[in-house]
Amino acid sequence: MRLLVLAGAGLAIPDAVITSIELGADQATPWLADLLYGQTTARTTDQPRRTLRLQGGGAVDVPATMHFVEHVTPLALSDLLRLDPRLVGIVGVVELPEGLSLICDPSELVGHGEPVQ
Amino acid sequence: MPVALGAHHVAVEALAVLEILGPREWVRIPNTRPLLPGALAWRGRAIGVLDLAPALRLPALEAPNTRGRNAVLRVDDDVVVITIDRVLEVRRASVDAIKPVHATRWLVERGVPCRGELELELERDLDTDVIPVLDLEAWASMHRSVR
Repeated sequence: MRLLVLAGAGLAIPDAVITSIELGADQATPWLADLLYGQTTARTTDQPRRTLRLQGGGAVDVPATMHFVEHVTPLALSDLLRLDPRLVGIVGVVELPEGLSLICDPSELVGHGEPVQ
Repeated sequence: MPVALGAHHVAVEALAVLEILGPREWVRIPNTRPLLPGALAWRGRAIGVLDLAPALRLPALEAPNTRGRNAVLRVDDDVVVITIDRVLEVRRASVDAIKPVHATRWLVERGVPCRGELELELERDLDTDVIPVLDLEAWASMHRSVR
């Protein structure tokens, strides 16, 4: 699996769900962390950001600090976590040099696209 | 196996313990229940982190580090890790020694099922304490059924 890592956010996104990465300009685009954690995350207006266009439509804004990692194997969630239907958009967990990160599929969070397998 | 979290003690079935780990990094997962707030990496899997602190009215676990000890436990066909401060000496207890929950009923009422409670002298020269014996199979079953 190839992942886009948002290092400061502790999040990673499968490359397969992203169609393009653009300079963030549209204030109406939802902030990924807000979709994941609810409207509780800090987001300053001058924070550099990018807009991820997603497979199947939809878009999310993310912090601009990002990099790709190749050939990573996600850690499968145990059943107690995986089978919880409230875990919308959570694909798994991955161990990266910078630490454990959640793998999420933003297309599920914005209600577009097919879940990543 | 008695374990300590803050000033509280609880016991888990020693035969369910797969491994005792030191502090580990863990990751919070949004929208999970308070007692299962996230996951840590163990043997190539992401296993649920069981944090009893909210039920004990203690400060909830903060990412990214667990408490000082983590007991990896088999629960039915799954595995969870309970994060605690200390692991105490394993004791042998007869079935008769486990009494119905009475003094520790408050823990059950906060959503943590217990098999019963034990009177134990937890540490040398300390008074005997009554500690709840967790029923993690019942907890997991409850966790699954309330989805």
